[in-house]
Amino acid sequence: MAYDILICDDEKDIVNALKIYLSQENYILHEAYHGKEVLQILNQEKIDLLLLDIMMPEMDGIQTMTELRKNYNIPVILLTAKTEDTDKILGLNLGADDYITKPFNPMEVLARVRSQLRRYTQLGSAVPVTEKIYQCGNIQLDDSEKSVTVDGEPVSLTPTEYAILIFLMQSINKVFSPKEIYTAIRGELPYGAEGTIAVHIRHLREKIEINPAEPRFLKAVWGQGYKLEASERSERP
Amino acid sequence: MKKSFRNSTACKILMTFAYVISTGLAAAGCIGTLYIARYDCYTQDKNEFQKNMMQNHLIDDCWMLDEAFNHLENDGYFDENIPDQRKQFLYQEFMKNYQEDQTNFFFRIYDADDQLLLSSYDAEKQLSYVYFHNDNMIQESEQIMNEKEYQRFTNQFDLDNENRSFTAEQIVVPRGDPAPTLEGETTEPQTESITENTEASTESITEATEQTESVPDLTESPITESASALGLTAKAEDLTDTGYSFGEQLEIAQALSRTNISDGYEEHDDYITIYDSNADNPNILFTVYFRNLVSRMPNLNIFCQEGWHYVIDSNTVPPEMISVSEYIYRYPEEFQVSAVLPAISPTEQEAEYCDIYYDVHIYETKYPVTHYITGYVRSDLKAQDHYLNDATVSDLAYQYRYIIPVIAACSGIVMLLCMIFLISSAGYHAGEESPRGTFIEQIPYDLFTGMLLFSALILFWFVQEVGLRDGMIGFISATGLCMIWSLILIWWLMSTACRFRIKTLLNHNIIVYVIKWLISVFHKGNQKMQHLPNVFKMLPFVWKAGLIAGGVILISILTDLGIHESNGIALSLKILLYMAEFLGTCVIVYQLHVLEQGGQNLADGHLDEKISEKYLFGAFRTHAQHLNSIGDGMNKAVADRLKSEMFRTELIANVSHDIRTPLTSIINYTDLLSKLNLTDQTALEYIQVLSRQSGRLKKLTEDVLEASKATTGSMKVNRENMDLKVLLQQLEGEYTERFEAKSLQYISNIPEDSLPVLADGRLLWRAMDNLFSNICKYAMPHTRVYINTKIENQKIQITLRNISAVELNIPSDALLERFVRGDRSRNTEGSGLGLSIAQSLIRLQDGEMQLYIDGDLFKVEIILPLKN
Repeated sequence: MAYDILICDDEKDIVNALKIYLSQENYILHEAYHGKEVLQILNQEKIDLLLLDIMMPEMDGIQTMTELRKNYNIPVILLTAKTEDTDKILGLNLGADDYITKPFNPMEVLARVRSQLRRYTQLGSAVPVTEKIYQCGNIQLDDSEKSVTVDGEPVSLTPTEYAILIFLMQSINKVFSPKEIYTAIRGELPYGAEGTIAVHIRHLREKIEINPAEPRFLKAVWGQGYKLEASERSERP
Repeated sequence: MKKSFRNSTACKILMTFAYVISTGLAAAGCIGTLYIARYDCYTQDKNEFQKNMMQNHLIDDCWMLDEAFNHLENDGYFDENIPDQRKQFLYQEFMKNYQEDQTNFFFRIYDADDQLLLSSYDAEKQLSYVYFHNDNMIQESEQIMNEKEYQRFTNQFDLDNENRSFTAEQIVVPRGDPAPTLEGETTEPQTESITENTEASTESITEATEQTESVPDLTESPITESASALGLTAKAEDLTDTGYSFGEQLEIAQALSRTNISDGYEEHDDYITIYDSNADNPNILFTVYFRNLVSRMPNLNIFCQEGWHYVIDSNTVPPEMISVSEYIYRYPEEFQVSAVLPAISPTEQEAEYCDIYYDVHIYETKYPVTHYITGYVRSDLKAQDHYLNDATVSDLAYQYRYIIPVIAACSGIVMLLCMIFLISSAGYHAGEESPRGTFIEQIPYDLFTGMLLFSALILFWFVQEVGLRDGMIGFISATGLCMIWSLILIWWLMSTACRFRIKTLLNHNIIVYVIKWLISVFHKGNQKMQHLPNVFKMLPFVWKAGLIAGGVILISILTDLGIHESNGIALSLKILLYMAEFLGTCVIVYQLHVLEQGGQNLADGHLDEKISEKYLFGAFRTHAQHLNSIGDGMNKAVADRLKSEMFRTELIANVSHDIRTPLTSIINYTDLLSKLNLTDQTALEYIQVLSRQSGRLKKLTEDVLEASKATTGSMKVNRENMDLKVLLQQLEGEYTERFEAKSLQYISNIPEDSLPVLADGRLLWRAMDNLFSNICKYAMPHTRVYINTKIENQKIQITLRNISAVELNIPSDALLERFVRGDRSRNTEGSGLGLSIAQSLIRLQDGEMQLYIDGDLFKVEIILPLKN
């Protein structure tokens, strides 16, 4: 089915460019140039996803989002030139589902849009979580089938990557040092071999993350280890 | 004419010379006159005068002879067991110095029984050779006598009373003693007290007088005369019958010292007086001298000799004598009184001991007299010795005895004339009309006067130490002293006259300056505050401290003096003073401590912490205020700087945001362009260029913002404990493939153990990420990349080394600057900010980053604090 996507940016060129990219995926596209327009369109149309700029005239992205969150539960991806960590945290805390900084990679935007739509429409809390099924954000691991899906799409992992992922998924948000991870998956003490864990993690990240340089789930805590992080918003059904 | 004479320098020098010469002559004349007057040149005939002159040497020779005799005795000359040969040898040794051709002195030595022991005196020639026979006989006191000997001894002593009478006068005259003679002041109270003290024994004394009157056949009328004039007739005879036990003698001595000496001699404020106690206690001698003279112990002998009795050799007191301190009698401290039995005199040590305690020493006779000596001087003076010298000098002196005073008077007049000329010419210079001062007149007058006075005193003291005594040395030194003194005097007079002429005599004085200054300060104080204490406030700090210190010292000295007199108030004052000193020290130290802490705070950068001025006063408070205002100023400067830095960062952030939006369009549309079905190859190439350059622009905007934030410190740093080893492993994992892509071999030498450091993992990662990506960009393919860690002094050092692909022809410092890249052509990717950002980030975490370039070797050293 075709999803309705609303693109909001005060820069017409960017809106147009996004329209060109997104139209390749057969989405129905709406456009707005400031926050008030967004709220109007949301009132009139059924919108499945919102791409929202922050710095805009009339009503900026942050205000718009706080307004629309009063009535709507649709996924919102912030698309902004503000690259500061504080801006990202602010945006995500106020209810954004994802955060893409300008200048962006069109392919990444497409992937993230897809991911959010899939989570919103197909997954949510509808999927029953059984003993053998672990979930973290859009990542789902079924240990009985030994299968991993990201945004509903199957991903093929090597046995080591799978072992690492399932180990991390068992305790979400907890940081494990490479040594601990190695000991857990190999059952023996590493003799300097824990360095390979970093390589496996990077491979794993490339497979399950849209932008491996800015991972959403599999995060490195530098100098300490790795963790699988489920953002608050992603946890919500 | 007169003026030119006055102004001539040569004239002045000449006159000064004449002045000095005439002063010398006058001084020499005066001293000479006094000298010959002292030996009775004007009242006696030539022979008597010569005798007097020679007497000192005769006494000296007797001492020396006694010493030699003692040696002879000790060597066993009188021992019967000694062989004759040995005796002969000893005798020759002994007599060696007393040959006729060597000395005019000769002698007889008798034993206690009046037997002649030794003699250099030829009996046959006696009459012709003896010159001062009997008259100048000197008694040695070294011997110790029994009663019988003592009797004879004193008889002989009576023979000498003629000499004694003049020596008694002599004591008084040359020293300008306030007491005209001994008789007047000293002997009379003495006899009084003696009668008081010894009333019980008066009878025996008179009896004894009768007995002994017939004994000395040598006693003649003039001698008795002079002796009786001194009140000594009866006393001399008393010696024959002592009859006193030692305890009684002691009591008498104490009584004497208590009453007579203090009564009679207290007015004698500068010199010695000898106390004679013959009358009451024949075996007790008193030596009285002032405390301040005791230090000149060599004179002790002479003092004793010049008094009534005997020459006392101070070197031969037996050690037993030192232990008689139990007989010490405490005496008023103005005097030192020694009561000595005729045999024994105190040693120098004992005399010093006396000096310390101001005591009376009384020694008991323990040793019998062994010998006594009679010394003579030959009448024809054959040998070339001091007697001949004395005779020559005395001849001359006698001959010119009337001329010398005349010379003195004449040269005195010349001296006065020269002095007048010099004073009148002082200040005038050749070729100048008006008087002018020299550099001497630059010195304040009172200071100048003080300096001259001081040097004159020093000179006197020096000459006195070296030799203001009889004989040629004394004469020359006294004359020289007078000459130098006269020079100092004329210098001072000339300077005074000159100052008077140029009218600086009164003004150019330190005291005047001080008074003027005080008045001005007082005036200022008056104008401003109308109070006297403000004068003190107005003083400079150093002056204040000096005044306080001086006051403390003054009070301390005064209280010390008070304590010396055991004054209770002084003692309590002193204690108070100490307490005040203690408190003052504490307060000052506390103030310094407060200031020091304030300074420390400033130095540590705690600019907000103010020094509390509550407990500070005076200069300390001012200092604290200054420090506080420094802190304020620095605070303001820091705040301003911080503000401007923040502003800059904000500006850069805004600019980079604003660049991003158009950049997004450029990148996106370039991408879209590339996806069009363009067939034109050139167009495709152009699109590639656009894509590449827009990518660079994107990276650049990111880096600029990052660099700006990192250097201005507006980045938040969350330092926590982390494991550097894990970080390096993670890094390696991230970069393995990129290294492989460039065929770089990564060699890491990291220890097995964990490397705990205190750092912000995210920032450290970004710094290391920059460095690693740098390596990927600039390292020569097919080379090795090394990473080492080393722990040193609670710090960890990480070293990264790789070989550069391009020539590194820039210094390492320049590489750390912004927008500088290893290749000057700037063809490669990157913004040139990577190293700079990395360094800033490391610094934010209290670390250090250094670059080293050695040929193509590129080395980065990072030092981070270890977790403590």
